[in-house]
Parts: sequence; structure tokens; C-alpha cells
Amino acid sequence: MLAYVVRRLLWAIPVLLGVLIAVFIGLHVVPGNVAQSIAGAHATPAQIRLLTHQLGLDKPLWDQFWVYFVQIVQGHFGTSLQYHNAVAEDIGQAFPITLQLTIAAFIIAGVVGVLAGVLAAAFRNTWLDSLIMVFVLVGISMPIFWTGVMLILALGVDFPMFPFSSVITAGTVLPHITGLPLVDALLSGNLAAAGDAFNHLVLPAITLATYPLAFITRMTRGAMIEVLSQDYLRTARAKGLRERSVVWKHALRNASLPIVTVLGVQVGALLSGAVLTETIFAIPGIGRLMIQAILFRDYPLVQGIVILAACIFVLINLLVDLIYARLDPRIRYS
Amino acid sequence: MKTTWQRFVTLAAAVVILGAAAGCGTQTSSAPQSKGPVQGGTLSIEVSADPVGLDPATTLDNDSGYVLGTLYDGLTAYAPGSTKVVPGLAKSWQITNGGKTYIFTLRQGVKFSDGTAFNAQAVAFWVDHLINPKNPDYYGNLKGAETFVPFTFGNVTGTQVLGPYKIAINMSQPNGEFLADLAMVWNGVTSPKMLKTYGTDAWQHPSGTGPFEFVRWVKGQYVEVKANPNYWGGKPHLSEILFKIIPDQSTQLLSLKTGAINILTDVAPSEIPTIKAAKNLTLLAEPGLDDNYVSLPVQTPPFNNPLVRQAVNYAVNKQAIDQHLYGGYAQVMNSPLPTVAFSYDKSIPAYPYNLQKAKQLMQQAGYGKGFNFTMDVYNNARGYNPIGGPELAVAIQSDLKAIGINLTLNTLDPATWLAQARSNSFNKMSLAGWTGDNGDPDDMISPLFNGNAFLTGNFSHYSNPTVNQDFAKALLTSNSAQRAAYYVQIQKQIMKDAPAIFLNYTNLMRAETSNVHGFVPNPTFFYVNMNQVWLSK
Repeated sequence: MLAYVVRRLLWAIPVLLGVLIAVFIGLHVVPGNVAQSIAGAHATPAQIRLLTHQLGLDKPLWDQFWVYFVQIVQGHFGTSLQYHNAVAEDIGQAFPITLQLTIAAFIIAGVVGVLAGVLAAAFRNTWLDSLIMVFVLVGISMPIFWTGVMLILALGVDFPMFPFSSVITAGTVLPHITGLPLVDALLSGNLAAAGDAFNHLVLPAITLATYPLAFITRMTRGAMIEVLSQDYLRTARAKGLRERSVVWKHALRNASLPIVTVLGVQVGALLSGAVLTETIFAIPGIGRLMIQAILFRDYPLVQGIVILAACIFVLINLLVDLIYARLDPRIRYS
Repeated sequence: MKTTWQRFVTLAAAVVILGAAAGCGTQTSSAPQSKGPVQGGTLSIEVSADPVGLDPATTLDNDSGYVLGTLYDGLTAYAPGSTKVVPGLAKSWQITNGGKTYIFTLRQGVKFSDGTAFNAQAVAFWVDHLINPKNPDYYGNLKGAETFVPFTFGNVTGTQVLGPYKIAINMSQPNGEFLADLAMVWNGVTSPKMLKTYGTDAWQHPSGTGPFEFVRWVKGQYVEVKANPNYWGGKPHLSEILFKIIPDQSTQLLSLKTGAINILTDVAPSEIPTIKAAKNLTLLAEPGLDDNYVSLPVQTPPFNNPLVRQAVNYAVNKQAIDQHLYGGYAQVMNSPLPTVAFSYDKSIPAYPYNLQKAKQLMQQAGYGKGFNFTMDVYNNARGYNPIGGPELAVAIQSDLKAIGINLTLNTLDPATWLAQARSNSFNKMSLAGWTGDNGDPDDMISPLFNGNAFLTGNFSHYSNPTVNQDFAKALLTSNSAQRAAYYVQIQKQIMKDAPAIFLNYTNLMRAETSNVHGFVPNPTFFYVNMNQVWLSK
């Protein structure tokens, strides 16, 4: 299996190179001059030319790409054109925050989604199934920005139970251990801050989880219904196994392959959903950073974020494939 | 089962309605007015993005400017609520050498927040680091930084220290708006120690003489500043200010409603009814330094004919646009200069809505049957046009149809729109606008209507030799009355030539919670004189 993993990781290199070239060209061919954005409204053409030169944007495109490529191979992602930080530093600060949000949303969507899907399948065509499917329909139909604002109105404004802006109350200073605010608060033993960070996480995590939760529920239900009608489960029942054991142990294990696929795909959906969720809840994560970078034509920052996203997708796909083999002994890697 | 389901829906609906009703009832009432300023308290101000940097010389975005206004002082300042230039760190000044030398007498006993004394030597170092590339702490060492320095200090040749608190700034040629420039937040005087210690990293270690001192900047979340107890202009009432970064418009307003923020920086016209209806909120609407107009390509037929340009000005119903699209928080332009700018002439008549006259002018110009044309439209809301480009463009398109002009709207993202309009070959109509920086006419209208500004903001490619000469003369004189006279002539000529459809001056709008007192928005848009603000308990 190790050889398989190594081979897959090697295959990721041309994929990442392709992504890099596509993003680089895409960013440089769209209209809009970053030097003009930086120089501001009063800048003279001479000042804009000087800035363009300082930023190396007057060199041929292939030359700029080569410089950038060499930098990346050496582990440098450049400096943000708008903010003066190293791109790696900006991403390093923003990514853990998105990771925390995504993990929280994934736990909600995965656990509740699978549970609800199994229940809906086990109680197929009962009121419970209908109720769950109504929630699924609503969850899939609601756009994130609407869900977010409704949750803020209900639980942030009308019944103010949770804060709805930022990741922790302003003024709370946490040591930088992992960069995940909740985890850092726990690791530093600051339980008050941990509670505060948890409260800040509730509404955005539910918002982000809504769509994947509905999707996972529907897919789990479908997969379970198919498995539950198989002959081997009739045999299991005939052997006198309890229904609970039939559903949760035998059926769920056999239905898990498509469920794992959906879970993997939904991680991608969570990352893209984080863009909107982070904007609504004023969370300084990678999604918000990317929006700012795109609007400003901050090439190095956009490229850095896209490469990170591509790496995450490659790793998730690999992980899903590895889990397949664990779940289904018939699958072998060659 | 159907009955059970129906019961559930009814119950859920009842819960939602009761919840909403309970929410409406829990709105907090206005805080009781205190008799005088209360000391202490934290004021939270919404900003929509991180500052780019906190060194005034290497930034020029609004979000940075909001914070800079609390941390730094300029040699000159703006009087509260206006762009009238008043003494700042300089107590007084003299203009000599035909407007090429400014001698400033500085305040004594002032210190930067890092403990460095403010004096003539500090000012000399500050100016030198802005104009001298050989200075090891030259501001331009931070490559690719945004800056206003060439705009203000482009003509400055050097300084002479005339005493511990007296300094002369010399220029190669006079700059009539220099004093107004020095009051801008981008020209806050920075501590020499800060510049020498941090070099190109000074943008995240700010140290000025302002009413507040920098505490911390948590990227993406907030910037915290605390009161400077020794502030020369009077100790601030507040103990600290938090600039909270909230990008989403709905979240900004909801944060204001719950009191999580006290001042809303960005108010959209669509939010006005909600703000006015809330008992605990106050809407602040003031005339700003904003021009909102449509540029007309004066060198391209049919707009090379002044009659056509005047016709379109008569054909657009600006009053209706102000009322219905901007909620009444805008005023029809009667001059290219906004009402709060220096030398604004209120006696110039605006183009009234007069469809008959517009048709008659079109007939006279030989375009009685109309024509087809294209207008570029930015697709976002901008400072001078808070409702956004597309909504405004549709109203103009509809009005011009009445005189036979069929406009095709070409909607673009802001970066593309600007890049295309700022070119020598641009020959379309375009939504346009400008937000002034310091209330000076040269800053406000020269970039829009001077013949040398095609690549800046003169999308019309308008170039009237008389106007161009007057712009040059006005800039070279430091006599206020003489400058005002030039700018009055310029305003009249531009309105007559009509290189644009002059739409409106949109208001500068902010909203605050009712426990905020003493806050007077400045037309420059920035948070200055914040030591006057206090919070009632």
C-alpha cells in the first residue's frame, strides 16, 4: 500500500503543476492592473510604470512564471502585493481558522447526516422518514447566505444566545500553538476563552453544515435502502439477529462505500462554502482571504491559496481511496 | 399521519411567528442621556476589511485611513465636521518666497506614543524620509506600497530647521493645496524612532502623536487603540476604540442593532429605513466630498457636439433618482465641486429635468431621431454611489430612451472598468465618480476635468485650454481669494461645456447607537477628532 500512496503522491505533482499554470495564466490575462490598484486614483502613468517595474510585472509572462516557479520549488510563495506579509504567513494564519470551522461543520454534517439517513431508511415511509426528508429538502434548497442571516436573526439578535461575528471576543489574547482558536484556548488551559471560542463557532458551523448535512442524509438513506433490500440481510434477520444489529452493523457497513465517497466530496463543498460563511460571520479564514486577494488582483496570494486548495483536494481523494480498501477487503491497490 | 404532519407545520409556524414577535419586543430603548461627557468605555467601530498598513506614508486605503486618523496628527488639521484647515501639530505658519516656502511654528511639549519628543528635528527627519531616496529609512524602500507621498511632497525639495520648534519646508514651485494636503490622514507625522527601529516593517508598528495609541492588530478581526492620556488636544473621553472587521453588510447592520458595534461606517441606502425605525440607532447623514456622474466622450460623435451633451443633462430626471434610488440622501449637482469643498459656488444653476428642452436640443444638433450608444457600468457599490452601478445605469438608460438614445449597458467588474476607462483610446459613456481627499478643488476636480488627466479620472477626454490654464494658475497661487476666483470660473465653464451628466452629490452616511455622543463625521470620511467622542453608561 505504501508504494500505492507514493505513486499517488507523485501523480499529484503534474496535477499541481497544471493547476499552477492555469491559475497563473488565468490571473494574468484578466483585465485590471494590480499596479494601478496599488497606486490609487491620483497616480500618474509614470508612477504606475515604476510600480509595475518594482513588482516585476513588466517582464514577459513566461519569465514571471519561471521566477515564481523557482520560488515555489524553493518553498517560497512570494509576498502579498496588497498586504506586505509573506504569502505563507498570511495563509498560515488563515488556514487553521478555516480548518476549525470545516472540522466542526464536517462533524455536524457527517454524524447527524449519517444518523438521520440511516433512521430515514430504517423507518422508510413512516412519518419520521417524511420529516427527515422535508428537512433534507429545505437544507439543500437554502443558500448559505440566507441560512446564515436567518440563524443570526434568530439566535444572535432576537434570542441572543450566540455571538455572530469573529472567532473570539475582541481583546482575548491566546498563545499561538495550533492556530485553531478553540484548540489553543483548551491547550493553554483558558476554559473561559475556550467556551467563548466554542460559542463563536456554533452559528457558522451550523450554517456551513446545513447543505452537506442534507446531502449526506439523502445519500445515506438511498444507499441504506438499497442494502436493506439485499438477500444477505434477509438471511441475517432469518438467523434471528436483532433489527438494530442488522441495520447498524451489517447494513451500514455495506452501505458505507458510497457514503464515504459523498463525505469526501462534501469536504470540498465545505471549503467552498467557507468562503460565504466566513464573510457572513466575519471569520478571518482562507475563504475571506481569497476574496480579498481576487478583488485586489493580489497574484501571489491567490496562487498560494489555490495551490493549497489543490493539495487538499488531492489528499482527500487519496484518503477516500485508502478508506475504501479498509472498508471493503475486495478492493486491492495495484 | 397527515394530520400529525399538518399539526407540526402549524406548531412550527406559530413558534417562528411568536419568536419574531418576541424579538421585536425586546428592542432596547435609548440609553438615558447623561449631563456631560462620561470618561471611559470602549467604542466599537465597524470597518469592512483589514487595514493594509498603519504607516501613513505607505498606505492609502480607507480601512487603514480610519485607524490612522486616531493615531496620528498632521502639521495642519481639519476643523470638526469640515475640511477647513486649522492648526494641528503646527501652531501657526507663514508662506514666503512666492509660495515656495512654508515656515511652521510647532507645538511644544508633544510626544510620540513611543516617548520620542516631537520637535523640528523630528519633522525634518520625517520629511527627509519622504523625499530623499538616500535616507536609509526612505518610505519607498517598502516596494510596491500604496502611497500619497508624491501627491503631497512631489514638489518639496527639503527643510531648514530654524529653531527647536520652527521649521521651513521648501518647494520647487508653489502648491496651493499644500496646507489642505498636510491635514490628510496620509500625512500624519510619524516618530523618527519608529522609522529607524522598524524600517520597512514600520507599517505594523505605528507611533504617532494622536489622541489614541496603538495596542494590537489581530489580522482579520480587529485593531485596538487606547487613549493617549497626554494628548495635546485634550485627553480623550473614551478609554479605547476597537475597529472591528466585519465584511458582510447584513452582519454589519445586525451588529449595530445588538450593540456589538457602536458606529456603522458603511451605510447602504437600503438600510436607512431599518436604521430610522430602530429606537436605539441614529442615522448621521452629512454632505460629503462625493461626485456621482456619467462621463461623456467629448471627442467622439455625437458627444463632440455640446448641444447633445446639454440635452442628456436635461433628459435625466436627477431629482427622481435622488428621491427613489438614494432615499432622498443625495443632492443634484450644480457644479463639479461638492458643496463642502473650498470655493464651491452655489449660484451656478443645475441642469433641471426638462424633457421638452432636451428634445429640442437634440433636434437642433441634428439628432432628432436619436442614436445608439454604449455605457460602461461598474458592477459594485462605490463610495460616491452607494446603491451600485447597475441600478443607477438602468434609470439613466430609461430616461435617455425618452429622447431616442438607446443605451447598451456594458457591466464590468471594478478593476476592468477602471483599467478600460483610464486609457487614451476610451470613447464610451461611463458611470463615473470621485471622492475627494482634502476638500481642495485641485484634488477634487483637476483629476476629472483637467486636460492632462486622461489616464487618471478624465474619462471624458475633456480638454478646454482656458480651464486647463486656470487649473495650473490656481495651483501655483497660495492666495485663497485668488484661488477661489479661478475655481469659480472653472466650475462655471465645466458646467457650460457639460463633459458629463452631472447627477448628484451623495451624502456621507454613518449610523451610531444612541449611547454615542460627540461624534461628528468629517467630510473626508475618516475618524478624526475622536477625542471628543464619549459613551453614556
